[in-house]
Amino acid sequence: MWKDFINGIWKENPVLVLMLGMCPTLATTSNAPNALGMGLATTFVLACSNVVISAIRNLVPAKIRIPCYIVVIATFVTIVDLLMQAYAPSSIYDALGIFIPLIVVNCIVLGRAEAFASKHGIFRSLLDGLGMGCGFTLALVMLGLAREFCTGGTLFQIKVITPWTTDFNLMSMAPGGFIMLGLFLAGMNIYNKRKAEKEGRTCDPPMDMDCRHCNICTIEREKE
Amino acid sequence: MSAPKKISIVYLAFFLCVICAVATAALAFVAEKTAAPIAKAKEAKVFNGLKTVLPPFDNDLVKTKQSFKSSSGNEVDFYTARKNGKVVGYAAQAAVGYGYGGRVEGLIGLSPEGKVTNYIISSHSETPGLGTRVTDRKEIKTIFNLGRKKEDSKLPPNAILDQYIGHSLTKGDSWKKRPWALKKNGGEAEHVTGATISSNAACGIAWEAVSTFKEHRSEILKGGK
Repeated sequence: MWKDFINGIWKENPVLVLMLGMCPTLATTSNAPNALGMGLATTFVLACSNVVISAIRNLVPAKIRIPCYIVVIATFVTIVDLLMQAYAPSSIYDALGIFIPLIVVNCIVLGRAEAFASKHGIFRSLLDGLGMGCGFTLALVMLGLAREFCTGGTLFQIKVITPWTTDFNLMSMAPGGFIMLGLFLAGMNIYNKRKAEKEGRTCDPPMDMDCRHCNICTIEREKE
Repeated sequence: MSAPKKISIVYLAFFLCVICAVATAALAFVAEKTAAPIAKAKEAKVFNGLKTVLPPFDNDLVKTKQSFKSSSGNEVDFYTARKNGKVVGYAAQAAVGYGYGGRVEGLIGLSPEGKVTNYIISSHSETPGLGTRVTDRKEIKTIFNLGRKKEDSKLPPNAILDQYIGHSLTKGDSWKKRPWALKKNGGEAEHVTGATISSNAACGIAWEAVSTFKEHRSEILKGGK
């Protein structure tokens, strides 16, 4: 049970390992408060949709399960949108407004619905949703902190290095997002490799997550 | 998921209908519950903006709203602020469409004589770091002044927006030379290098506000009771 929760935070972290949901990742991590807002909104949608989809998994005919999942997810996203408009600080809603509707098509939500919630019980699906959401939020906030620190020496929009007056805008824009994400992935790979070497294993990426399962590059070879 | 037996298309359609009906019901419930808070939040947003550009007042601003067309055809909204029945200032909500990222909206505080007393940009999509140097009045929070309380009366400075403060379209104004244009266009206003378009938009909004005020002055003074 506990494993379902932890899984999403480290071993199958949606951003850093599964590489899902890149659009909100790059767009909303220009500073930490926005990243936190996006992470929490996605966590709420993930947990709720996982529970509902797990509850109706035996009722839904297999043929139309994807449209059904999308209806459920879209409903929760609209609820989050309305709730944020009503109760969130207006600065957060202004910054996230256009990304909230995009949670509907966020691969993490539909991916977890299809891969986990449609096969497991309600409680485990809830834990999985919360775990994935926390992993997503954590990765987003770390990225946000790193990017805003490199932009202007701020953490959560509070200036830590006061003499830093001219912003380094590259890091707050999309290219900076890619660069920082790349550095994070490199760091994660180094850590995993070191750990594997210490334990005397060779470090292999999980089977589904490298290019071995994708056959685009072998199509040419098969023709010959 | 059920076994691969044959399911009629009618059943599938019916099932989708049921799912959508339930979802719609849930959404209708939430929309009903949040309608009032959302309207309140939106009103508060406009109100907070107006409050920052006006001196202290005690009347109901929303009721004093008057809309006029400016000479360039844009709509400018005026709000009248009163204290103890006396007019203490006007707030103009104006917008131009030629910012670098499209529409730019501004709030301008005017004294009863029509002088600009305060100027903020309330909505824009200018380039972060370039255009935002024109549009943002940003309080920089540091770890040293974290606990300190902000003085409400003063806005954080912004040299480009601040230069319009104190100017009007009346005769004794200090801007003689073709006023309300950037220096490079023959006027007297400064701009940020690399953000000329944003600076020009800021200038345009201020112009819309003061020129509309001048044109419709009598109506604005009369109305908004």
